[in-house]
Amino acid sequence: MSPELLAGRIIDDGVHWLGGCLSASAPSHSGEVQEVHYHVSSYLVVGSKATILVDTGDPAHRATVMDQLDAALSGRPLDYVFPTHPEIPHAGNLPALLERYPGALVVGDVRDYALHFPEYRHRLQAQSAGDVLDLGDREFRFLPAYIRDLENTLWGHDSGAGMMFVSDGFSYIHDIPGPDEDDEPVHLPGQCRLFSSEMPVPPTVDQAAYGTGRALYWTKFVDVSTAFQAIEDTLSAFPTRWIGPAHGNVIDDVEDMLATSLAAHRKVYEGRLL
Amino acid sequence: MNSRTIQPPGPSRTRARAIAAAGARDLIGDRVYRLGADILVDENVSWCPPGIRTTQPVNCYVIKGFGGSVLVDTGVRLHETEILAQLDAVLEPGERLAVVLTRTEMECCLNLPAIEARFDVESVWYTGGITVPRTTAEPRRIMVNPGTSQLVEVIDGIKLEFVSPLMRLLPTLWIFDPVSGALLTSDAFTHGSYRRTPDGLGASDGLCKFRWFSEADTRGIAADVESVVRERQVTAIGPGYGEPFIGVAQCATESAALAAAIREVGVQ
Repeated sequence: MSPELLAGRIIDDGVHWLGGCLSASAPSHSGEVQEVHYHVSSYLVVGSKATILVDTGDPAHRATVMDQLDAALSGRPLDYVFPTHPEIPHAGNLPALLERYPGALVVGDVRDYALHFPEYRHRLQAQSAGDVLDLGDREFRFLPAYIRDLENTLWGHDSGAGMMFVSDGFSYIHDIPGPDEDDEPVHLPGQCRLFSSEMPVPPTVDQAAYGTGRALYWTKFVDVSTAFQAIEDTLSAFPTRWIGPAHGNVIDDVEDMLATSLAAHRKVYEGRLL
Repeated sequence: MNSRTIQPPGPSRTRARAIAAAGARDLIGDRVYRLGADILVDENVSWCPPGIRTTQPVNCYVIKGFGGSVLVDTGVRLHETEILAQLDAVLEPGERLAVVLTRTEMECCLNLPAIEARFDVESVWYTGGITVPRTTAEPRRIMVNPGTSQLVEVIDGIKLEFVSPLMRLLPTLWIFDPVSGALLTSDAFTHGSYRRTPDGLGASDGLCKFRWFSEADTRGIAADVESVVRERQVTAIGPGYGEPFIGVAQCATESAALAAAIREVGVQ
């Protein structure tokens, strides 16, 4: 990871973008192996009374996440960790975080976590969609995960910055790195840690479909129109300036990206990009 | 000679007792062992059918060869102590080991660091996720297109068929051992524990994880489940969680039942 990406990025007042991209090898269009990147992002929300980390990052970049978090907290304790669902890139650093921050509680849909981290079962605090955590000068609301893989997934929303955290939803890459031979939404180096509006050109439907089809196999079989209506209703209810996916650039042009993402899902479903 | 007659040397009586004492169970003779322990399945477990509270085994499997063995999945961390003890009993001292992950989900891979620390793990095979929590073992990331399979020599002398099923949530492999006829099915065929409840529940109760089926045309998925079992003369089905199914006839019956449940829940 380049030095400038080792530090977190402040998205808005009290919201920090942590984590970074993991590197992997993948075949290029020409058939040669090339380096590609895979966003694995975490987000820290700092309220006047409490702090919450959304997703833990992957153990493969544990040291980076821990250092970024320490810096962003500036001596504040971490009060809550919200792994959006129990997969390695989202919850794999839970043990390290809970050891480093002994007062932190694990919040969200915490089913299964006692099987994975039995030594921390006493620090699990179940939350359901609609529940709200008071962070002081802002609220963190748990939302249904309208686009998900595992059933025990939740999304979240920070009222302070107007940011929605969407886990595996809105996986967004800018360039399609090679033939359709990878099951993960990878992208080329040089596109990490950028807002969607900072990309050289807006993403095409094909590019968004690439990420969607890779990350969420079931979307090839299911019409997501209902889910997108629910997303639009939620965006209306809770004003949102930012969308933070775990596996994509942070979205700051919400309306345009919503349209692109829906078109991408439809394209995947209609079988034009399997 | 039928390939299914080729077996590694069986354990001595002393070792067999140690294997049993550690809680490992044979799935297919001395070729495939089932490791793990039971969990309580209730509202705290995401794959639990509504209204159920029962015990259920969470499984991983050892396929024994002449020059080493293959561990398919690593069990849940809650069972780390039990699984290490079972591996101690099943493996010869210093025996080479390869690990195959059917998915990169936590119940499949979180014991990998502890296993690597104790045993000679030479490679970790997986699909999907970019990383797995390995340290020194060689990562072998493999892509198999859904609906197809690949025959892979995972470790010297053990060739396994990596089946990429259509029944999946995340990138998933089912592992078929041509020598024994065992099919290890990850998060599918998990209904074996529920049928023993007084409610008489069936294959549909193994579909809680696959809620998206209720919004999809599932006919192709159901047909794939049946054909994977039918085309291979499967002698045992070993799920990642739930009781296994033993015998060609039983496996055929269960695959038909699961396929029927998948068709019924879908929108065709």
